[in-house]
This record gives sequence, C-alpha cells and structure tokens, in this order.
Amino acid sequence: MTAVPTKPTEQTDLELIGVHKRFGTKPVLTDINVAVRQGEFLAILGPSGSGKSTLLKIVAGFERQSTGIVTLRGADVSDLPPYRRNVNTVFQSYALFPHMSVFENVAYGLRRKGVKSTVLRTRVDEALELVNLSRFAERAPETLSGGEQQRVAIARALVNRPAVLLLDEPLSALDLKIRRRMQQELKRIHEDVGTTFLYVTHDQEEALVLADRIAVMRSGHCEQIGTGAEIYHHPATRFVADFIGETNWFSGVFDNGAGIIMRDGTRLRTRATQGVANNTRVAVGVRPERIRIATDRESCRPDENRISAMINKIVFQGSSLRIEGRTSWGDPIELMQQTDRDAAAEPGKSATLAWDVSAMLLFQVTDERSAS
Amino acid sequence: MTAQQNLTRIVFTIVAAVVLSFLYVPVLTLIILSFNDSVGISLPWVGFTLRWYGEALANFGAFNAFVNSVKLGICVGIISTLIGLLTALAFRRAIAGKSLVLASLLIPLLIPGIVLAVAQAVLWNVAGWTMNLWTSTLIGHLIYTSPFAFLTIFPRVHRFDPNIEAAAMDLGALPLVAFWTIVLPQIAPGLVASFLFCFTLSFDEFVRTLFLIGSQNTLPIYLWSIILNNPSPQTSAIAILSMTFSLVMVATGSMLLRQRRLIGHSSITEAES
Repeated sequence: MTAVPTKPTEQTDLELIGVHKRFGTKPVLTDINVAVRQGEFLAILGPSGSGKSTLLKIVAGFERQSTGIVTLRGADVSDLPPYRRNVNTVFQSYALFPHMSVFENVAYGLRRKGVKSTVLRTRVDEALELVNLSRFAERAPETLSGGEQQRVAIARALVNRPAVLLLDEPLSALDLKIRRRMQQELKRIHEDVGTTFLYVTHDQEEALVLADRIAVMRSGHCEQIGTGAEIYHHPATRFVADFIGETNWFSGVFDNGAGIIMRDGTRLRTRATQGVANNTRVAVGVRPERIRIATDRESCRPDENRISAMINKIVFQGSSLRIEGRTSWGDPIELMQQTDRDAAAEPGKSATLAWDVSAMLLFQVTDERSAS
Repeated sequence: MTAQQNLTRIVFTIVAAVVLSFLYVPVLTLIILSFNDSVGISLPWVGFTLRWYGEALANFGAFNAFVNSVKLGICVGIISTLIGLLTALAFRRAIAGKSLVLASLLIPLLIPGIVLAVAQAVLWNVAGWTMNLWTSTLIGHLIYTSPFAFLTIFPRVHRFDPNIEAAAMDLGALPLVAFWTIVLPQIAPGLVASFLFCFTLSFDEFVRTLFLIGSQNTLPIYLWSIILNNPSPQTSAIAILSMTFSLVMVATGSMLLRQRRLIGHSSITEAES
C-alpha cells in the first residue's frame, strides 16, 4: 500500500518524493513519499529491518537514495553530502566526542562554520540551558549519565539551528524510568525551539506520546501516515493494527448481505466493507477495550455485535481487569474492563460480549497476510 | 591449610626467581663486566672503572653507527606507522579482497627474517642496485615492521565508533577536518605506540640489516664487527648504552601516553570541585 503524500505547501520543511533504496538487488526502501511540515514532530515507526534507519540516513546524507528526490525547505538536496545539509542528527549511541568537554562538543558545529567566538559562546550557553546542562559545560562527556549525554547530543545538534532535527532511536539505550522522563524533556524541547523533528523509533508507545504524526514502516514500505488517533482507530492495514495497540483477530467469510459469517455460523455486523470482495475470507479485528460484557436484560442494539463466549480467566491489573475467554467459534478473545464496573463475568461461565459496529477492523485475507 | 598456602607461596617465589634470573642475569653480567678494569670481557674482577664508557662515547665509528640507527629507526617508525594507519583505516570499510590483503600483509611475520633478507639481497643483485641504508635497509626494515604497526593501530581504529566521525560530518566538518579533529586525537596513543614499537624493532634489527646494509653501519652491525675483530669491555659499554637508549625511548613514550590521560582526568576533577 502506498501512502498518499501530504500536499506540499510552503510550510513543508522536508519532503521525500518517490524515494527508493536498494542495497545491491535487495530493496530496502520502496516508494517513500513523506512531507514533513514545518515545526512538526513526525515519528517513523517500524520494527527492526523495516528500513526506518536507512530513511534517516538518506535524509542526513549518509546514504544516497537509488531513485527519488529529497528536498529541504523546497531545495533538492539529493546530491549534497552530510556536511552541506542543513539537518543535524542525534545518534542512538550519542556519538559524543570523548576528548572534548561538553562545551566543545556543542560548539563543534559552530566552529566549523566559523562563528565568532562571542556569538559562539552565547549560542552554546543557550543550547546548554535549553537542555538544562549549563553546569556541566566543562565536564568530559564520559562523566555524565546516559540521559545527560543524550541531552548533550541534542544540544550539539540544535545549536546549529537545523531545518530538521533527525533523531535515531535516541532513547533506546536508556532504562525505562529515564526514558519516560526524557520523553517529556524531548516534547518540551520541541515546543521550546519549534524545530521540525524526524524521530525514528520501534517503540509504538514512544511514537504515540511524542509525535504529531506517525509514519508506520514495514519492510521498506510506508504503510500509513497519520496522527496517533487516526492510526490507532483506523489502521490502513492489518500490520498497522497489530503494531499499534492490541487487537483480537477472528477469521470469517464476508457475505455482502449477511455480514461476516464465522466458523460456527455466528454472524457479525459490519460497516467497514470497502475493498472487501463478496464471499472472501476476511480478518476481523476488535480492540480489547472496545468490548464490553452485556447483561441479558438489555436488548441488542442494531449497531452492535453480540457474541457468546466462555470466560477462562480474569486478571486484576489495578485500574482495569483483563478478561480472557474463548468465542463460540473457538478463537481466543481478550477484553479490558474498568475495575469499578460490576464484573458480570466469572471464570468458567459463559458471558455475552458486545461491541459497537464502528469498532470493527476488517481486512481481506490475502496469502501473504493470512490470519494467524 | 596455611602450610599448604605457604608451600604454594614458596614454589611460586622460586619459579618467579628462576624466570627472572633467566631473563636478567646475562644482562646483569654484561653490565658488571662493562665496569671491569680488564682488557677482556671476562673475569677476574680487576677493579672498577668508567674508562670503557669514556672510550665508547669517544668512539667515532660507534657514534656514527648510532646516528645511522637512530635516523633509520625514526624513518622506519614514521613510515610504517603511516602504512599501518592507512591500512587500518581502509579496513574499516568493506573492501574487495580484504582477507587477501590482510594475509599478504601479515605473512612476512611468519617468514624467517633471514629468508626475506636473502631474497631481497638477491633481488638487489639481479637488478644491479647498490645496497645502502636508505634504500635496501630501509625497505627491508619496513617489510619487517609494517605488520606490527598495523597490528598495534588496527584495534584502536576498529574500536572507534564510526558514528562519532559521522557526527562530525553531520555537524559540518569536511571529511579531512573530521579526521583531523575527531579521529586522530582518539587514535593518537595507538600511533605513538606503533612509532615506538617500530623504532625499537628497527634499532635492534640485526639479521636483515647484515644482508642489506651494503658498506654502511648501524649500531648492531658495528657491535657485531668489533666483537668479531677486537672484543673489549668497550663493546659491553656500547651495548649497555644502546640498551639504555632503547629503554629510555620506550619509557618516555609510555610516560607521554599516561600523561595525556592524566591531563584529561585532572581537567575533570577541576570541573567537579
């Protein structure tokens, strides 16, 4: 599936048009079209090997795309080396200069541009202040913690006022607690400087928390670009639905008149039928938090699906309960429920589960994407 | 338990003493005899004198050979370090025939020195070239020392995170500037070590030099010729002086390396206080 490029406007800082990349004969990126708006925080999200790091290297200038165009603020930079591109990178390994102080690390880019020493001092001080590291200016990088080193790397890149800041999984080397704090820190820095951020990550939660928009990558393709909510609620492909959030998947046969017919004859109503041919096998997805337990007293609404399921297990998770069961046609099913609600389910007993028709995700099953 | 520990301790001490005397008694003997006021390098002990050292320092032939050795050693040190550095840098990339290049570079380590030296001498004869210090000897030494230079430098270059160099270019440094300001300071200790190592190898080299020197002298060749013709305690004095020079070179080098590190540390502690 090809992502539809956002219509480029004057406010577009970075644009990739029809970018392909092959290593030898092996395609690594296929037809990437992305436009990043000025000041936007765009996350490139994908599993390892999806080509997201290669994409970043192409923007930075460390790799040359096989075909296609990369523009920065409207100018084609496809053939410019990294040192002539107005972008700066925050590397996963920080890549600080170990023999230089924090100040000299941050000053490096300005020194290369021959910025006068008075101006240089002011700008480096500003950058260090932005990341709250002013007091560490004279320290050696190796004496700082991982999170502090990462902030030095961010200051070192931002001090050059790049058109786009590229971040290559910058938080993946940090432990969970510091990572959470750095997420907040990154978000604040982004709001403070207003620079366009292109952020590569394999962590869907990180992408959802940080990014204005997310581009989901899979084996060199861009599967979908959109806001976190768009991608979560309206995934373009089953891969996207699986990669972001959890989903119950059932397989059935789509019948134009009757809806989806499951193995035991249960019929599910659906609204999203576009692109699904009659009498074909389909995968039906429902997010666990969209499913609720219906009592027998309430009657079935027309825009609702009801099924019966055997409850196997109820796991108390603090604010929520995770309820595991098996549908009448034999597929496992999971749902989340607020703890304060009366749980109308008991392990070992059957229950009626209900969800809104609008909660259904529907994908045609093809050979390569067969239901698991 | 304690008795057993004591026994182990005694055994270790004896083994260590045997090994150390094995290593150093010959040199000690030479040092002692160089102060003996006798005409031969032998006992009995006649009396203490510094005469042989005085003669050694005044010996023009020895001094000339020493200067040749130092000049040659410096050139060999610099050139082989450059060869080692460039090869190590090339090996960071995926290059065609990498293992073949590596093998051809390291095989000279396995061929006996005398074989390579004779082969080179034969080549010089066949070609009708004149052998001297700055052609045949220099090349012979480089063949010998370059693999060591590579083996000293490569681990440092290999350990260097290529992203750090990439970061420099990302920040606007031309490739050469990035190398000069970022890569070189990081691998400098390896280069210094390589220079000292190759200098010492060249300074002490005998077999290859003997076949390739032509009519000139290096210090080992000079020592060998006077031992054959006219051995006297002056010979041991020259040997001791040459050894002292080598040791001072190596000690200075390692002190330089350590000092660099200490400077780095003190600036950190200053910042912390």
